[in-house]
Amino acid sequence: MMLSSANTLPKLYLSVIEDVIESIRELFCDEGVEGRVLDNLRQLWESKVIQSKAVEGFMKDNNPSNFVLQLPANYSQSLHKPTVVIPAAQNVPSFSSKASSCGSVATFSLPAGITYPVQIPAGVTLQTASGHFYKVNVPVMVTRGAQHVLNPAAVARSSALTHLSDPGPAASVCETPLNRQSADGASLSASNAQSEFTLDGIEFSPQPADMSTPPAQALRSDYSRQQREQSTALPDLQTEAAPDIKLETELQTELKFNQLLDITQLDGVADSSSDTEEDDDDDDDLGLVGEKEFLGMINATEEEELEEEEDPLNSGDDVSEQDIPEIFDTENVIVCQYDKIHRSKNRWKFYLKDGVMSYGGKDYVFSKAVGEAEW
Amino acid sequence: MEPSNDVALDIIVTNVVSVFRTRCHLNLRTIGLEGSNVIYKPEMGKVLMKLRKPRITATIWSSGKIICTGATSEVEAKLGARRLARCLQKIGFKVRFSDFKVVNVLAVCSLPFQIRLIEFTKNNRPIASYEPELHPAASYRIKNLRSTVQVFSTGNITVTGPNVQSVASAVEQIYPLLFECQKALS
Repeated sequence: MMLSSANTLPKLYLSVIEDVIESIRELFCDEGVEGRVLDNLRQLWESKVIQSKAVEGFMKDNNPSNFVLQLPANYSQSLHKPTVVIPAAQNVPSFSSKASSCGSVATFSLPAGITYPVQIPAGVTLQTASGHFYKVNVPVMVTRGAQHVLNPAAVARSSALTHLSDPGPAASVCETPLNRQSADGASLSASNAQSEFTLDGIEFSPQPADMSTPPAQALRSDYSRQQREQSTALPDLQTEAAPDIKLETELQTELKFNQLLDITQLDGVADSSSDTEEDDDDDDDLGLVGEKEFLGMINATEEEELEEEEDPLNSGDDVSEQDIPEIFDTENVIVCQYDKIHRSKNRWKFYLKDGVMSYGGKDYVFSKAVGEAEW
Repeated sequence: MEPSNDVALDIIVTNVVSVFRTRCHLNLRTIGLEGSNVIYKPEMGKVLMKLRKPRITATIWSSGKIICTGATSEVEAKLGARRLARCLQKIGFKVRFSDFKVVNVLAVCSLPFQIRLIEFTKNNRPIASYEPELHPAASYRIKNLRSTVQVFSTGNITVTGPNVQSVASAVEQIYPLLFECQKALS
């Protein structure tokens, strides 16, 4: 079941990213911002998603004009097992999961519906999953062949690129004819490939993508926030930036106001009228003194007596809650809409819909979710 | 057959309801968003806050009036109410703990015999009333104690009153009357 969600998730996220980017393209233009900025944004976004490792096998499809090639994922795998993978369009998902599992070699994805052999003309820029660009200087032919070539060579080159990417050694597609020869030799070990392709004549000049490496947490919260912004019709209670800030300031002004009131109204010690609202909350002394005075007055009404004696809500002593399990510090969140939330005594039932769950660092998207809990 | 022989009756207080005021306006939305263990019901204009330690549930209104339910003793009710006020204070409101009052106490008691309700009602008109089509228990109102006892034919009774003392007195008062009408041949 997990696999099925892993299959569709990258596509979903990609489509979300696509939608957002395209829909704001015009806005950006109107504001006089260059289209390049938008593309940078997109790359940044995609690389962050990958870095967060919340989705398996996230492959980017940058530009319709470019296409991306897919390489067999794991070198060692390919040696030991016949797990060579090449993207036919329908195989893309399965490949992507493999790719991410090793995270080593450059992964490209071919657009859907492509038929082999594919010719990549010179001057095309390719982009790997890790965000690196490779410019094709020499026309390349991607074929479906009996020999799979690239892996050994690719991995041999991976060391050259290690410094460039974060999630493990980004692989290189880099290929010189020389390498290719050796690769040919080694390729015989592979077998059972669904399909293979060859790349030749690609020279690569890696231009590291503009990848900043913010801490993982910021990434994820950023991303999840963006995701949230895209979810439709969230219930009001979902936190968004603006209302949060507004609330905060509201509270602060309220606090400030009350404090102000306090300052102006501190008239005297024994406040005989018990219905004054602002009182000696921060003055324990006042409370104590008041108490003493009232103890003298035996005939104090019950109400007043009660008030004076119990007024100081002892800051933190006995009455403080002393938070019993604050097990709440968790990275696992669900952002969704709800159909029904039900409670009986302390048994809760959740009927949720259309949401994303981030659990154990992975993202799971659902259209219906049911939950039960005991408080 | 002295009705008032030494019978140790187990009166179990199951619920104590109390109220208090915070003497300040409360922003329910803030409490709903920032408080822990809260249920915000905007359609009804109240927030429920549940506490674990004394297991209580409090209904909070924006006027600052709070009803606290679920405690098992008067002391516990007060403690819970104070803890609750403390929680609100921590959220940031200028809370004053005032006008605390226990308004209702509910207790149950299981008598060691069954009761003939019709006979009981006949003997105790008009204080007792029994309408089997409406409710399977006979209800007995003790005016001076401001308490009500509901008598079931199984021998279980529930008592509600303004405080624990009145509830205890009510049980003492009604015991001999019930003893007379018990089903077991006396």
